[in-house]
Amino acid sequence: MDQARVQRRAFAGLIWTKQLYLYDVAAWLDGDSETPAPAGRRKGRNSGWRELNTRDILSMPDGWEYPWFAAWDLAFHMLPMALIDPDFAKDQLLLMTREWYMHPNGQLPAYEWAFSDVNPPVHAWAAWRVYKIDRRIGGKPDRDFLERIFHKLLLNFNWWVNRKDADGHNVFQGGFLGLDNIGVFDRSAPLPVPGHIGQADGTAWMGFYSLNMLAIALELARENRVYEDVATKFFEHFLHIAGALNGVDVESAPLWDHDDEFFYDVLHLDTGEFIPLKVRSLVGLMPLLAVETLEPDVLEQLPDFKRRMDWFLRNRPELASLVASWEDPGMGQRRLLALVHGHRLKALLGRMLDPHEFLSDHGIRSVSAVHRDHPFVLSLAGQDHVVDYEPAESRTGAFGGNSNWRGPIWWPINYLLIDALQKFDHYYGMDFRVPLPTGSERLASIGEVADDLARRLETLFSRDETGRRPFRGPGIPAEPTGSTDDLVLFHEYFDGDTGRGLGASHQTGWTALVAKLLEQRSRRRMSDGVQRETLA
Amino acid sequence: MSGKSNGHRPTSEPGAPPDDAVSGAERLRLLDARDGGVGWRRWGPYLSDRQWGTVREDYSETGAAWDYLPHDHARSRAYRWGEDGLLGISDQLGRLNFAIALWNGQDPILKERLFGLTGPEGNHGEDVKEVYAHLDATPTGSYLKALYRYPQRAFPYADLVAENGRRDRGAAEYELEDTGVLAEGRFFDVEVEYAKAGPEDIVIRISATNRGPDPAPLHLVPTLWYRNTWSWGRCGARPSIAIEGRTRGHLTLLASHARMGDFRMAIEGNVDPLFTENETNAERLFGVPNAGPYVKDAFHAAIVDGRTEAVNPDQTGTKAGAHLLASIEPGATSTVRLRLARSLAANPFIDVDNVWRPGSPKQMRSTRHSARV
Repeated sequence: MDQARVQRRAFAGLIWTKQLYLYDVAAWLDGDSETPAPAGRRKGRNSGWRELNTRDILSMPDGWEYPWFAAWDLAFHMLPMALIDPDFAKDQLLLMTREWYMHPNGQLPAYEWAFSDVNPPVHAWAAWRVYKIDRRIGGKPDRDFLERIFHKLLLNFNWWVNRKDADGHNVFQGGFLGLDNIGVFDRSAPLPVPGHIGQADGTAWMGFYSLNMLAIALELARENRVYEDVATKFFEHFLHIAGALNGVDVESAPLWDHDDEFFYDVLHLDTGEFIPLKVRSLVGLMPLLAVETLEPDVLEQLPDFKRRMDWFLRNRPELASLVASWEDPGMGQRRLLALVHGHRLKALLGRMLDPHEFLSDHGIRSVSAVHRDHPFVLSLAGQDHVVDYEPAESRTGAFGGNSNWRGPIWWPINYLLIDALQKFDHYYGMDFRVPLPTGSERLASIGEVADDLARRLETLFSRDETGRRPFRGPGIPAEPTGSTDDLVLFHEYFDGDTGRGLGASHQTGWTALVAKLLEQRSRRRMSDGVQRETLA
Repeated sequence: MSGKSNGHRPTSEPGAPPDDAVSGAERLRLLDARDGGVGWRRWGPYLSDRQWGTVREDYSETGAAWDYLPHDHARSRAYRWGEDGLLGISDQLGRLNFAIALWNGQDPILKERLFGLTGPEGNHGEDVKEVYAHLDATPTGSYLKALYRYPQRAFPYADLVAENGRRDRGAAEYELEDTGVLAEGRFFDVEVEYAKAGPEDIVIRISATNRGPDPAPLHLVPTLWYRNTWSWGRCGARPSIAIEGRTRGHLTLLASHARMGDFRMAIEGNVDPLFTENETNAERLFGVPNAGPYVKDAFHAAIVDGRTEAVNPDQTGTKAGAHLLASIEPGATSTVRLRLARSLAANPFIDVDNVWRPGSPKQMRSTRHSARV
């Protein structure tokens, strides 16, 4: 019952946080009869976005703190939204790709403070997930939706490829990528030394994006062969990115650190020197997100795709070997495409599931707690740059000091990790087991790890055995039903040690993803005993 | 059931299978909205919590959006690109807006919107300093319920700014709960509910409960207003709101807009209507004469400062309020009902109990609001 209350409040917040968003950028830049624009404005904020002209109802992150749309937040909002209002969810995702939002060059607008900022490319993922949820709930697939959005996403994908790969080596940048202060420097600002950063997360996101596009193309190709070769395109593009991430291309520095068995950003100095930035953060876990399984019947249905795939794997053995699992049909003859597998998967999960590193009682931390006592320090151009573990609010002013990715638990990435783990489980099944938590005797399948993570996140809001709701913070006594305690709030992020809610306090918003997790749990309970499927 | 159907149900109990996540009546509304062109989505919780301090309202040279239009200016300055209010609604183009305003007899300002610290003011950036929660909602907005907790003591505006300003980034944020103002339950839990009897027929119920140990006064001003589209060359014609009729039981306002057509709003009880214009008070903000005598902050001026000349005696304008004052006993709830629709029956409240679930609003009413005299 208490979980039902939490879910209902999350849905309520999600709906209440819809808002009219009016912004005619050209008119705003030029000023009007009553308020002329100051001189600097035409070259200032959002001056490259004159085509953006909106008057739509949009799903906002938080009605007070973020009363403006944020494209990647919105993509997450649409998963729980699709459970109660799939038409609205599909319309919102399409809207972001329409001509009055998407830049003519293919970029999606980030948010009004700087539409040109770069957020992680999650739009294709959300579109694919919403398509599947809608199909399950409504009983029939909305292929028109999928096809419409796919065409626009092709433009956006190309924007990424052409704008965010400085060397043309499939190692991507992207700047802060939504993770504010997670890096050693402000990753959106010029570096203190000449060079650029090869970003593990930027590259992982593009691997992720390629696989989402592959999945959509394959789905469309089932009924329209036209999409078969574009599926091939994304298959090969994914393998190029996988090669780059794993250092197959000798000219780029490997992002995988063999000693630490972790992915790090690498600083590429113009002198040709490479410096790995050894911060253990979500940046290094991000490659886990890029995973997709292929069903055997897809390959049977799409002979052209299969022919080219076989040719490619035969003729690019160095890339084929990166997805060696490819050769080993897993459960139900499924095939696995992933940036990490086998040993590296276990190594990353080992850190992720270690309570001394990423695993907290209420989810995966954004920075490993190992940096509590061992901050990462980089001395560069006479200045020390430090990243330590800060479980609560930010102690620095970077990005306004309003958000903190150096320790707290954030829902969007936790949700994506659960989603990815379920896909790995789909392939590996019960045979692939890891200690949970790391260091313990208990061995769990990846599916059980995903369940465990979901439970940890859900417990932020539900009453515990003493009646407390952990998001309210330690030391706050439980209050009876009907009291303030039942005003369940959905914060922006959560203390990496205690689970206390931090930042914006009505972020339903992506924290409403809890409604989707609770729905999955309820569905799973109901289908107990039935063979498990990847949940849409 | 057709799109004209009465009655609504909030979402079924969650945790149930997803097929039941939205109940039958709401599912039909969603289908009618998609396939039948029925405007169930035309009205909703589309009014922002905050329009001040946004990039859109910023016309400064430097792009310092928080400083250009701070909370203190919000009550006096007409916005360009949106409106804000407490737990409000609007049509999908944000032309006609509804929200509540409150005064506890102590505050220096009328509570028309949520207060919070700007990015530069907070020790961890911007942060709302209020207690409120979204309690329930259906996808089409056919039912919406939210709560705002309003202190009976003076709202500690200055204390919140000063104490957070003293704290550095290493310290916790200083929240409303930390100020002690909510101690002993000395606050009102104000619940606002909206239920659609039709796509453009909305019954509104506002219930204020005194959680404290002593009787306490509460001024309530349900407010209906138009976004200013006329004074800066976007859309020429100025809409208007005026009194259409008055009976012993209720007051009816008529809101007329060239493109939207007419809407009526009935307010239950013997209320005191207020009218002004949604225009900037340039005199207060910039020290230059106002174009007209009636400006956005007139209700604040009339109620808090007692300057009754601030509201238009001709009882017309682009912003209209209904002033109600109640003294609420400890534990008691004061309730007022309103109805916003294109047209209203002679007694707009006679059938509203059918719209609600569950029980009758009458059972919830322990004291009545009365007009301020």
